[in-house]
Amino acid sequence: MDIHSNPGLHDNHSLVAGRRFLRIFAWCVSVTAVIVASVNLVAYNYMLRDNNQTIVQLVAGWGRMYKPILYDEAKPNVAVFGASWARDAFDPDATGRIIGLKVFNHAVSGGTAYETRRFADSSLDNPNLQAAIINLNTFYRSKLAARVRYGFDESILDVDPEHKPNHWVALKRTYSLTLTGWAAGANLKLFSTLRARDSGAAPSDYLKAYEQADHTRRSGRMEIARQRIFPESGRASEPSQPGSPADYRGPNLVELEVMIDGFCERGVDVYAYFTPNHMREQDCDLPATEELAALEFLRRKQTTCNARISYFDFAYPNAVTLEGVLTPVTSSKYYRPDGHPRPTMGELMAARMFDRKFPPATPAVIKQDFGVDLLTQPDAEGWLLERAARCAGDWGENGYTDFKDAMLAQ
Amino acid sequence: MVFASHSFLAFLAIVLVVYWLVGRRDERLGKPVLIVASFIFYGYWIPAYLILLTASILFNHAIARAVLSGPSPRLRRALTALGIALNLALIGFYKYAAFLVESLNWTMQTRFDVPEIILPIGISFFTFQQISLLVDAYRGRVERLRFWDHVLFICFFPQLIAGPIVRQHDMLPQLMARQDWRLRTDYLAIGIALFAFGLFKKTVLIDPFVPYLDLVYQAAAAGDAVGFVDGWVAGIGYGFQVYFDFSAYSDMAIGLGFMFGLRLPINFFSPYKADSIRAFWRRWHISLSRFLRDYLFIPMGGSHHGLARTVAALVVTMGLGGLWHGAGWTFVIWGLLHGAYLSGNHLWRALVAKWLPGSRDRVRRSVSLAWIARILSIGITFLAVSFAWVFFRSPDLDSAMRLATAMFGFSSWHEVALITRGIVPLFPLYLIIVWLMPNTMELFQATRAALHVEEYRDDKLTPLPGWLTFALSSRWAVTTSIVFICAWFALSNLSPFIYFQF
Repeated sequence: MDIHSNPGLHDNHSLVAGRRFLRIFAWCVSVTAVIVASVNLVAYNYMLRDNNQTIVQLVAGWGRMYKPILYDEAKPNVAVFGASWARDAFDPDATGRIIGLKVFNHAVSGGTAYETRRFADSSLDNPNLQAAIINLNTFYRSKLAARVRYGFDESILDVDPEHKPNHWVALKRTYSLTLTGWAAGANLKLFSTLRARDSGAAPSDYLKAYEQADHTRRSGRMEIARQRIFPESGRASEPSQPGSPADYRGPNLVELEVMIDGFCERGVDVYAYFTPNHMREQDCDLPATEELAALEFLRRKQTTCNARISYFDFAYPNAVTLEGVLTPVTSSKYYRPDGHPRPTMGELMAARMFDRKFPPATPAVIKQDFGVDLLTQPDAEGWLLERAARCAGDWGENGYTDFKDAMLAQ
Repeated sequence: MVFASHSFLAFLAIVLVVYWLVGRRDERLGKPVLIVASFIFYGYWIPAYLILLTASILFNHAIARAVLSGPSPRLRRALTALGIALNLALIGFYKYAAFLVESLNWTMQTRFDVPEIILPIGISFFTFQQISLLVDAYRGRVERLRFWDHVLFICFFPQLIAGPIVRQHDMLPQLMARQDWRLRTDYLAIGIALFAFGLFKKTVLIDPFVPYLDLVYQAAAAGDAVGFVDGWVAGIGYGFQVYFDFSAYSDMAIGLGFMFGLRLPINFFSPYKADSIRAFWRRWHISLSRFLRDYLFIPMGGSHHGLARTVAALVVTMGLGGLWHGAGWTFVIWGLLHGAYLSGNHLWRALVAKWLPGSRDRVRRSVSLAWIARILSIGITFLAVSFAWVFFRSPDLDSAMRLATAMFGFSSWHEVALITRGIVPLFPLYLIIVWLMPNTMELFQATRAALHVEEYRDDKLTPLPGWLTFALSSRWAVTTSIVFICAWFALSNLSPFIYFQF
């Protein structure tokens, strides 16, 4: 079976054709590679500019590749970790202005528990890092959630899963920044977004994080929530008792534990929270169960931590999560159309977590009752259960009249 | 080293440059360069297993030489048996020891420690090649066996770790006849094009969508409820995954071999176009099918000793074929299912021949009936194969059974599958590709880059218009570069090829 019996492929004509083919192939590939690499490098320089950070960190889709690299360039004081619920909630510039520190939003679309932990691993070398904001929803997702998503590349992180330094990181990052489809795709989107911003468009026109939900669109669900939380006469229903924390096995707490241990060892303060979903979307029992489980877990971690751990609860019926329940709201201040928090809510959360001033014009009802650190709260379980009871229309001795008046006065 | 990785692309570029430079100085030095490169390629993963590979080559070479020069038939037979036994012992230890102990513990309620053995990559492939060499030597089908030819026959890196399973008569004559080992631009160009098309299938067509499919299998493994839709998404989706993954790998392996002027056997030929399960196995993992046919099925009597024996031989052959893929009961059941399908096919043909003589000819004569029958046959074959994939992919029997029962409707309608995201919306596109589009071997038929393609020429190798047939033209050079660029830019954290684990 001699290969040279291959007809038409052993003559000089074939060799010449092969040479020409290879020349054209090599020329096309190298010219394309050079063009793509050049465009990507120019785009990367845009990404590093301070005034572009909001766009770079809030645009969806490419974070897995870019964010570890940009984080190492930025060396922020505060980093946000989680999935898109956290990415959309924290505009790095706006949050930075509230808390007076440099903020980096490291959350990515669909970020998994493992990915989030690995991003945190890679962030620990930053000597400026003082605090980490962790969205706990990422770790309380279904056990069926994928371990990693497409595009996650451990080789560009500073350390491997055992916290040993990765090799050739600079080379791999250079390659990722210049010659991958991720880079090309990200930069096309970056340029179009920058162009929209520079043309004077409103943030909601070019950043999905700033899009506003129309709470009147699903009025049926809103009405059900209203009747449940603000019953016309007395209490609407018995609140279901949350299961005990021991019953709830957070599927990815191992990753959360490794992540918090890493921060604790480095003296980085941890601010953990669950996403304050709109009450229209929330059940009355499960979140409280998760929150109780997280409370127990974080209390245990606090006893051995070199830094401060805070665990803020925002996800209960309050003036933010009840937006539009009592009065029609067509342009939500706090929620995106898909229910994710907007950066305006992130500012409120950051102000509460870091004990800073709320943004101007924040209603008093929010300043008074939006979030509390459960780890410093006396009888945190009681507080949680009391707030969870609101979900079923039980507002305690005084009912909800005062709260309702304050809401309507916003 | 996975073919679809930056490290392999860098490795390949270096090997090609060295091969070219060395070949310019001395046209005979290509072979040693390929041997060294292949050992580096294999040792990149766990260098210690190079010792295993080397020992396997040395031992089998000694046995094969002894068989070839053996004075008496009895001695030759004994040596062959010894060689086969030791090869099977090697693969048995590394691949099946843990499985055997686990099975023993499970069935006999014993508590033996399950050995933790890292499976040497490619052991299933190179061991089978060694066995085929010994058997062929015993049967007098090996003319000459030179040591370095034997080494390259086994360790040639394009086929070392995931096939195709190359038989001695496919490779040794090429190695013996070849005097000029210089790099040829025409072979290199064709090889690059095949490699690029394979890489594209892997990095662009399938891998980005695999994680969504994994969710269904994770659900089944976690004991969660899976529905009818989930079951079929799992079966059909994995069918597409393994199709594109394995055909990608096969294209890349053949392309790599051809870059260095060596032709590897065809391994994949549009298996989902098969209109029967027999036709499926003539098109799927062709090199394995041929090995099983020639070294298991035929020695067990083949199809010439009555229906009962044929069925028995088929079931045993396919059961062992399943076990070859992995040490687990899921693989055995997958193989047995295919054995049952093939037996059913034989029974059906026998019944039709006996009770409905001439019916096949009548169907063939009616154009419309023939088309309907063909479409139905292709659809049924596809569904049967998809059902079996659930066993192949599931991590354990429980989850496989959970999915399988759901596929028969013993469950809810729909539980887990993301039917609006991930892989499911791509099903129509995949069906168009696997059922209606020409395969790579058809596109490249004029190059004859793979061995045995001509066997598919008669009715299966669809004649293509000239513009769709690959040629060393400027147009194809540009097309290849676009395909390669897309595939290259899509390289990320891809999953390894499925057949690397076997």
